Amino acid sequence: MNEPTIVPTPVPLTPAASTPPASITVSERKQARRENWKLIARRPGFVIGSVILFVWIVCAIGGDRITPNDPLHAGLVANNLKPGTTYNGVKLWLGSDTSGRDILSRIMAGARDVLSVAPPAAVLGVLGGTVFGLLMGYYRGILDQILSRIIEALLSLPTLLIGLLAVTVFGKSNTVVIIVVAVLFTPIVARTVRAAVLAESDLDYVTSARLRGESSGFIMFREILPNVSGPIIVELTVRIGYAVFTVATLSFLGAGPPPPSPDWGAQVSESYHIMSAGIWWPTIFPAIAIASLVIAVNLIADAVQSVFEA
Amino acid sequence: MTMTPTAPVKTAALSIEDLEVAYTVRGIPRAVLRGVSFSVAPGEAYGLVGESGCGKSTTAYAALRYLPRNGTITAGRVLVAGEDVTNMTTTELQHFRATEASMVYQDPQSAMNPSVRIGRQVVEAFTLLGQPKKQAEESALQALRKVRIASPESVMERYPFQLSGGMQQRVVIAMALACNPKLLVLDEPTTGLDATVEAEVLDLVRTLRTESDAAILMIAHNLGIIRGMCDRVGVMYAGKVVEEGPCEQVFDSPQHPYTVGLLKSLPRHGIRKSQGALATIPGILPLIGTDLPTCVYVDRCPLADELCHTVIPPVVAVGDDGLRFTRCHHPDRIPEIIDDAPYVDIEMLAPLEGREGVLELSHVSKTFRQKGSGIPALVDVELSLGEGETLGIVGESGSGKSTLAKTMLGIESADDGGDLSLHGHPLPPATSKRSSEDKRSMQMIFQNPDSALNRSWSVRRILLRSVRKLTGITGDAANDRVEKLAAHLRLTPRHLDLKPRQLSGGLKQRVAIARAFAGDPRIVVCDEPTSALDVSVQAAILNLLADLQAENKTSYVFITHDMGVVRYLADRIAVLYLGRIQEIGLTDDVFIGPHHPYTEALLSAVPSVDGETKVRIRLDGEIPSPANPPSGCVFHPRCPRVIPGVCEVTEPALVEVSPNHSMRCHIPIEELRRLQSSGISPHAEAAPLEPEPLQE
Amino acid sequence: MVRYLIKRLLLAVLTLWILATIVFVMVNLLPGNVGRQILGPFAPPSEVTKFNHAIGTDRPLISQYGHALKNLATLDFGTSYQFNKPVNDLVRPAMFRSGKLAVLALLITVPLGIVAGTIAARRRDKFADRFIVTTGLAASSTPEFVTAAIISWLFTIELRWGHVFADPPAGTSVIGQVRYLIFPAFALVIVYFGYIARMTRAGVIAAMESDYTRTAVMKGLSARKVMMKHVMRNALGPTISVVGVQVGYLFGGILGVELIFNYHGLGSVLQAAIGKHDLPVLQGAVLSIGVIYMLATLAADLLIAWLNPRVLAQVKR
Repeated sequence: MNEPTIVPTPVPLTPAASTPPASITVSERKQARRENWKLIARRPGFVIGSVILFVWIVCAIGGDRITPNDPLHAGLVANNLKPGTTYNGVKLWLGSDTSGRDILSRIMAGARDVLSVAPPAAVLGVLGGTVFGLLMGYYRGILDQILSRIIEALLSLPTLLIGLLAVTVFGKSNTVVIIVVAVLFTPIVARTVRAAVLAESDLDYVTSARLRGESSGFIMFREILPNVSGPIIVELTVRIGYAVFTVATLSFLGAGPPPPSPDWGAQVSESYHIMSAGIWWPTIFPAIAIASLVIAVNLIADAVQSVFEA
Repeated sequence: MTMTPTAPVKTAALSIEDLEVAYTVRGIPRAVLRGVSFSVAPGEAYGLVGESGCGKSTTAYAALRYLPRNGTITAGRVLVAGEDVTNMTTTELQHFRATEASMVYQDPQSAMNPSVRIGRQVVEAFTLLGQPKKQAEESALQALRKVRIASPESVMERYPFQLSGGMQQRVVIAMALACNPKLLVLDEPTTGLDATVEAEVLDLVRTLRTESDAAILMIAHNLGIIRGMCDRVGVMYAGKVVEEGPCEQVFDSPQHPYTVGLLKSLPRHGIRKSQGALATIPGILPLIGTDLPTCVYVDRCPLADELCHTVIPPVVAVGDDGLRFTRCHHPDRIPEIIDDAPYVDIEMLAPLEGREGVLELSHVSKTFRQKGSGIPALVDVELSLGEGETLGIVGESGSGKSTLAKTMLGIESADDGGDLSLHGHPLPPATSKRSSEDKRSMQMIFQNPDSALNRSWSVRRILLRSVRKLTGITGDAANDRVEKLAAHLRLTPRHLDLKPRQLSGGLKQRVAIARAFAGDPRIVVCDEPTSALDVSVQAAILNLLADLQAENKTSYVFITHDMGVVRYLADRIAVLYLGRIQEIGLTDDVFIGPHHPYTEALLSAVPSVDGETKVRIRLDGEIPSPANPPSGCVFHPRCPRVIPGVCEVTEPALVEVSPNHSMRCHIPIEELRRLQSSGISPHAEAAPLEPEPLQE
Repeated sequence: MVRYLIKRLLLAVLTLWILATIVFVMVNLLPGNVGRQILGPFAPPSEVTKFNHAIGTDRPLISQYGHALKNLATLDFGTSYQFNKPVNDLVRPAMFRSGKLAVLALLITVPLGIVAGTIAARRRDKFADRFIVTTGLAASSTPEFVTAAIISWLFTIELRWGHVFADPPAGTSVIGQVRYLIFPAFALVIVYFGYIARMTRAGVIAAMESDYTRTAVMKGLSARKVMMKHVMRNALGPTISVVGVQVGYLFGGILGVELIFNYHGLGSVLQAAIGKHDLPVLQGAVLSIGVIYMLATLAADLLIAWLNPRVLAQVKR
């Protein structure tokens, strides 16, 4: 084995660890940050992810104004036409589904369903998790103990099952899905934030704030929160990816928007049973759409993580 | 390159020749070592000193060709017993490390595999040498005995975390000595250990030296340790050895301006703040990779002139024995910067009587609750702090010195039954219950400024918030006060708009001090405020604290483990052991004696850069857990002057043995004076270490 | 060790209790009349009342809650509304079938993930590392049903390497069953491989950068011995813990895979129960998965404690 690869840094002698004079550092630091961003922007993963995400965002905003055909028009063409067929002058790049709708148009329009649910759910979940995480990490003690137990219990369930149960109980709607996913993410985010806050509140600047008589709210939100923003931003990007994952799976399992909707998960769910008959395109194209979106979001999240955890 | 006047290469156990090492940071290789050359003869101990970032550790690791992932040797050679380490193959390097060279590290706890028993880790060092398992086990037992571990069988059964720091380091040393190395590298082997434990480990290394002919390369930031352990020393600055020679000569008559600066910034020879400020080195160590075309020290050197900025300084031999050199254009002008004027004894602080007591603690105890049992961290502390006075608090880890500070400040609430009073009025135990005036009056300076300053706030915001919160001043007046405060602490307006991470360690600590002084406090608790800083920066901070105190008549509670620092700054000293004040008195009384036996041991454990010879007091065993303190006098199991039948039965009271000097000891003061002035060590030979029982 | 085990078991019981409470609260938030929902809008009101009485939804909540806890303690979840059969008779066989699929997936994915993660760590920042990390990320971020759909199409429909319907006929030998289950398992393997590989990589890198690894290298041990004797033992803690947690997630992701491959495990039981508001079945399935998750994390924690003696020592203190 090549020796240096298993060799750790015996002395942390990066410029950041030494004590540089302020005059040099300001420019060095800014430069370093700029270089870091440049490094991410140059990462192929980030570029690919951004391009894919951009395409889906355009589709979501454009909706049926930019789709080649009406995504909801059943019987537009014959059923189950192969990709690339032209039918009555309508070119079907990705074929037609069991109701004779244009799959390409449905996939483009379906971007809106997932993108209007997943990001808000992730944002809400991260907000909730941040508040709980701050409270638990800062106050510790009995509150932390109780909430930690509850969180562990919540985490002990597959997110999907609870989601299914909740959608069954509260009914199917975008709002319900957003809230359910947000609630499911809250404990996960809370755990991450709590760990960061625990480490942070052991630092002496928190003691110093107490010594000058700051309130707990001030210490949590003004002193500690800015210092845990890195993990929170990382968590947000990661959570958006998981939200897409969860929302798509929920609609596949029948807890998504009702039938005519061009939702991707619903499309897969409607058509997978005819795959065995060789009609694969109504299933596989929406499946690829889902995969491309989650992978894109995760590639971006990965790049963001590499900056904030550097 | 010039040949350095060192021992001939052929016989050297370690010879480093014009070694250059660079670390690649953000794609750019940055020079760390800029041509290091020295050699160590078999059986010789060579020390490398210098402030953090000078490259001493990199040199040590490069000697065993162990560099971080981004480090490369860009030029030069490393010869160990004549073999060039820099061009060995991987297999050769393994063999070399297994049989020729070993290393002992800072932080022994993390240097051992946490999930493998000690026995297996030590045995492994011997099986590597080709010994069969049975024989290797026997060798391991012997190796542990060699490092004075009394019951090696039981130690072998333990995991690293079940041993104390001193024991852990003994085990690491035993592993390092397994192959009977030609070269032993010690990298800050006692940093992080308590003073008395450090003394024991150093004693052990000293003894082992007589039993082996390994060459030793020792890295330490503590000059006293190097003086006590090494034959020769190299002083490193910015990746170069700027001066080299026998320890006594280098430390007693330095010949390089940097060495002079380093030595002068130490509080030595019992100097006190009343006798003058400490010398400081202006400027700051250059960053790695900085272009330093001529003398590496030129930007900070008081002797620098045109020549120094244009021509690389020559290696100038000092004396005729060929053992000393300095890299300086002007070694003849060194006397100019050595200020030999004797310190003038200005006024000593008047004794406590007649001065107003600002803070009084009576019968203050603090018990931590853990799993239903109480752990006494402070027991019945009686203290009084006068106006403008500095009370030094010393003691090893677990002595309760930080708890004492936190209890004063109300970060920890004192147990019921004790009283705190400030300016004569009672002080509630918890900060949150104290008035804003009380909070303003008592502030704190922390050990680590990185932790003490909010890294997402600018310096201005940090100071402004404290000014507003502590003084109630708002608006422009608050801004003005911030600027005045900053100017007073020698921070420029430009610094105010920076974030802490953009400042050097010394500047950060200035910001932390400015924050503590934002509301004109009456008492500032300083918790090891300079122990994370290099000595030249430490000197500047100590000077600043002394100035601020002289101006504002602020009282300091100064917690430290550095006896030199506390002697310089403190008017009175309290010595803590297991949460109890063992001795308290004026600084000179505590230092000159007669001392409490524990103080005596602490003082004699200090490695001195001046090489003063004194009787070493060795302590047996480890500091007991505060959860389970010994009976009678808590110090009796380790006390070299213990009176059997008395000390383990009753705890002595804290009694005044002379004016303003109290002690907790059964031995009468006159007896202590006689014992301690006789200069006879209380015991001839330290007993081998028994591992302390596992904490269940 | 015994003390640690007891402590850990108590925690598990506590967690299960909280879980049962959450499920109970959620189920009782279900709007409307259970009997009406089950029996449909045309059932006579007397029948609905009778039904509600029979299943106990007309009892006070606290008594129902007590009943739910008793069910949990005895692992007996009552009677299914839709089939009028004991829940356990429905859930247990389904669980067993899903379990087979899950175990097969774990048997493949755990060693694969650990090996890949270790390779990535040792080839850090080189091509192999980038490749493993990026494909792992892409694979683990894709929902199971999507992966399953693509695999089903590619391997069982286009290439005809496996069975489109993963249910093996009764009496199929173990090897034969594996042949049926291999592609659905493969879908799960792809998803969970990424997590395990990433976690292993992080653990191995941390261990390789530790001081004790430095000590081992400086002792002169060969790179292989350093890895085997010093790095791996300390590196696998987080991985084991992730595997434990993932057993729970696996039972979520498995639903989509089962549906795509027409495999009659928990997925179809749950889907039917949700459609019919069959609450006892839902509760039984969810809590059974909770129990499995508890056992898996417990096993993971014990394994970690065995590998790392410090964990045990901390409990003792």
